[in-house]
Amino acid sequence: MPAIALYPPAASRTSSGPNPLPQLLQTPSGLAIVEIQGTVNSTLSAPQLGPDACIPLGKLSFPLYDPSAPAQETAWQKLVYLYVGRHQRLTGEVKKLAKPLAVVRKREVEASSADEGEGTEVMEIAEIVYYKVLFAHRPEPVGGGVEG
Amino acid sequence: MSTQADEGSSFSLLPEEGRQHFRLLELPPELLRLVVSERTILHFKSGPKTSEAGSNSEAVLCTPDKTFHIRQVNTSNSVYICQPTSHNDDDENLQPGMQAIAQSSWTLELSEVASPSAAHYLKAALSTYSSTGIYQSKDPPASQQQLFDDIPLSQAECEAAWRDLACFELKKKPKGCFLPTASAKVQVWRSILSSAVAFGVDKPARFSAHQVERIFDRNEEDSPNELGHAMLASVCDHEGMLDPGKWVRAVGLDLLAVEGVRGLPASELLKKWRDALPEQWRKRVQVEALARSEYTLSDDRKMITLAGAESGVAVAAAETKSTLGAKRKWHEKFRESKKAAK
Repeated sequence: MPAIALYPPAASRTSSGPNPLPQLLQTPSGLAIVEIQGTVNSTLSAPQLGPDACIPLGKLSFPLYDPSAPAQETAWQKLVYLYVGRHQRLTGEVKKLAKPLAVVRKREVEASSADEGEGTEVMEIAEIVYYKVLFAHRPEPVGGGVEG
Repeated sequence: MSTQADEGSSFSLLPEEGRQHFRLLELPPELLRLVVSERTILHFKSGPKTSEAGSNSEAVLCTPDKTFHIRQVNTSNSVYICQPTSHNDDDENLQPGMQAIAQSSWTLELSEVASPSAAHYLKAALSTYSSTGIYQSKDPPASQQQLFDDIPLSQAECEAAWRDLACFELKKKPKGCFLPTASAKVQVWRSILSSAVAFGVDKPARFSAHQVERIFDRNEEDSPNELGHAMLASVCDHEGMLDPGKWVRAVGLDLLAVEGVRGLPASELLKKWRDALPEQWRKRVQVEALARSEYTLSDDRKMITLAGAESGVAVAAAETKSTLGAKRKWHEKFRESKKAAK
């Protein structure tokens, strides 16, 4: 079986829009990793879904993060909230990955190179991610209009 | 009415049918450096498809010269790959948010292959070239690169084994790649020596890779020139200079493989060994010049036997068999080598 090439990340990769994450978690392509211990079950009906039928899970917040603080200030990494709906909150933290993760995908084959023949599958590293946001705790209840 | 939940950016999930497909691959420091700093292209490889359910034997990731095993590690957590997105809030202002565009339930972990050797794979896959002629057992013949494609090791590791085994590729009929048997190689070692003596180039100052090549160019024997060149390459260093140590060892090992399957007196081996070498290298001949794993000594160190002689017998027997026999053996042989490679 022929070898499948895995290309390094494109130097020219750019993010599709403004990145709301703290600088540390931003990557050139904008890709980031969020890990939740557990699964997300949605009971939303079609009219409640967002564009592209996306599930509006909630809000991601870094309450201790101060963009103007020096980069070596890392205390904010210990606290991340993910509000799920109006009544639940997950508490998590920013974790540096022991080994960075390559986000690998199939590369779109350009028309010109398509004549190389079938089976020339090509993979590429879309991004290399060094940090992830990990939510390892049970959701806590929070009041709708009450200070969490 | 400000609440905590109003802070932060929106986080949404694309429905499963709209998600992209990503795999997460852990990068050990060495690979990270190659990918980031040197922008090296890596390669996923796997062994040949085995007949059982078409499953691939093992998948690896190769740098140009190293091989990493791939292990799939599942997680029960939901791992989302997200990217920035934006949406309109209630006041029609564009608000940046994050959207999960993919979910991955497993990560690929890499570990470097400890002692890679492509020799097993080559021995299993290649037709042998014996001293009495060629046994064609592949149809259609595979090119060197096609062979390497089916070996789950890096290009450099495949090339090293190819070189060490003195494998060669014939572009003309009989087309294909061949592994010379020990007896075929012993014949060539001896003919190199006799030609060198005849041309007067066997003396230390004159015996060089260049001279050996000239001998091949004048070769009037049946064995293909490609074999001679491959054997020469197997005993040269990186700069293409003859490595006497390699040469001496190669001749000794080939002799042992021919004569020592059932064991022979060590003194007899040493004599034949010396006789097959240019004079200036004969003092290097001693049992210890062979790697310890290649022979066993018995009878108060008087008898020497090729290590793994049982498989040696099998190989020798296979050599004498017809094309069909070699074909049948192929899967069994490969299965053995696969186990050994683990």
